[in-house]
Amino acid sequence: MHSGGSELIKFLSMTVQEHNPEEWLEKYGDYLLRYAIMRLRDVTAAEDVLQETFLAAMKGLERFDGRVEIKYWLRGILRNKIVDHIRKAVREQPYENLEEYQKPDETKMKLFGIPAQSPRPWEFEPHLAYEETEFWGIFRECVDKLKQPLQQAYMLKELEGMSTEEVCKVLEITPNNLWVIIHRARAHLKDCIESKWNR
Amino acid sequence: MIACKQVAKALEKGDYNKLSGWSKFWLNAHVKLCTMCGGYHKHVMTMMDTARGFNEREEDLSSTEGSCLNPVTAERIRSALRDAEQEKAE
Repeated sequence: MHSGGSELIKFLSMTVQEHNPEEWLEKYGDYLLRYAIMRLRDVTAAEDVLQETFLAAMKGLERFDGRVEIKYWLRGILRNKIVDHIRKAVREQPYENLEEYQKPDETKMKLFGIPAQSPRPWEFEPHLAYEETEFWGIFRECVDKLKQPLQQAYMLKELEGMSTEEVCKVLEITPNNLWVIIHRARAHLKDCIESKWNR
Repeated sequence: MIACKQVAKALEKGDYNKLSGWSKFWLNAHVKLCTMCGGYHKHVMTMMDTARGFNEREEDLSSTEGSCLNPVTAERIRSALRDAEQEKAE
C-alpha cells in the first residue's frame, strides 16, 4: 500500500514536471490574481507577488510531491509571498496609530464590563444569507473598506487563519493591539454589512 | 465556572478554536447562563462563521466576477519565467 502510494506520488510529480509553468499562468493566473488583490488591495502589488509566486514555483518544482492540486500548491506559495509583502510594507512604514488600539475601551470596560464590548443583535440572520452571492459581494466590499491596520489584521487572523503570535510578528503589534483591532474590525464589518443588506 | 472577563479574553484574545475541550465546555456553560456574555459570544461566533463561509466560497465567487490578468502583465510574467528557465538551464 505504502509503496503503491509513493509510486503514485512519484507518477503525479513526474506528470506535473512535464507541465509548463506558462500553462499554469494561463489556467490559474486569474484566480490567483484575484486572491492576491483581495488581500493586498493593490493591483500592482498583487501582480508583483503573482510573478514572484510563479518564479518560486518553477524553481521549487522538485519539492512538489503531488499531494495537493497544483492550483492549491501555487496558492500556498502565493499566500507566503503575500505575508512577506505585508511584513515588508509594515517594516518600511510602521503603523502610526497603534496607541489608539492599546486600551481604547478600558474605561467603558471598567464601568460596564462585558456589555460595553457586546454589540446589539444583528438586524437579520447572516447565516440565512450565506447562500446568496450578493451577501458575499457585500462582505468583500466591507472588508475592502476597513482601514489599516484593521484590514490587514482581519485578513491574516480571520481569513488566513494565522495564529495571534504569527499575526503579531508580521504586523509588529502586541497581542493586546490585535485583540482591540480584531474587535473593531468585526464591529465595523457588522455595521457595514447591515447597512448594505436591504432585505 | 469562568468569569466574564475570561470569556471575553478567550473569545477575542485567545484563539477560540485552540481552546481545550474542557475550556470550551466551561465557556459554553457560562454563555448559556450569562445574557451579556451570551450576546457577545453569539456576535464573535457569527463573525467567525462568516469568515469561514467566505473562505469556503471564495474560489467559486472569484470565478464569476473580479479582475483578470491583463495581457501585458501576463506577458511580463511569461518572459520572466523564460529568463529564469534559461538561467536554470545554464
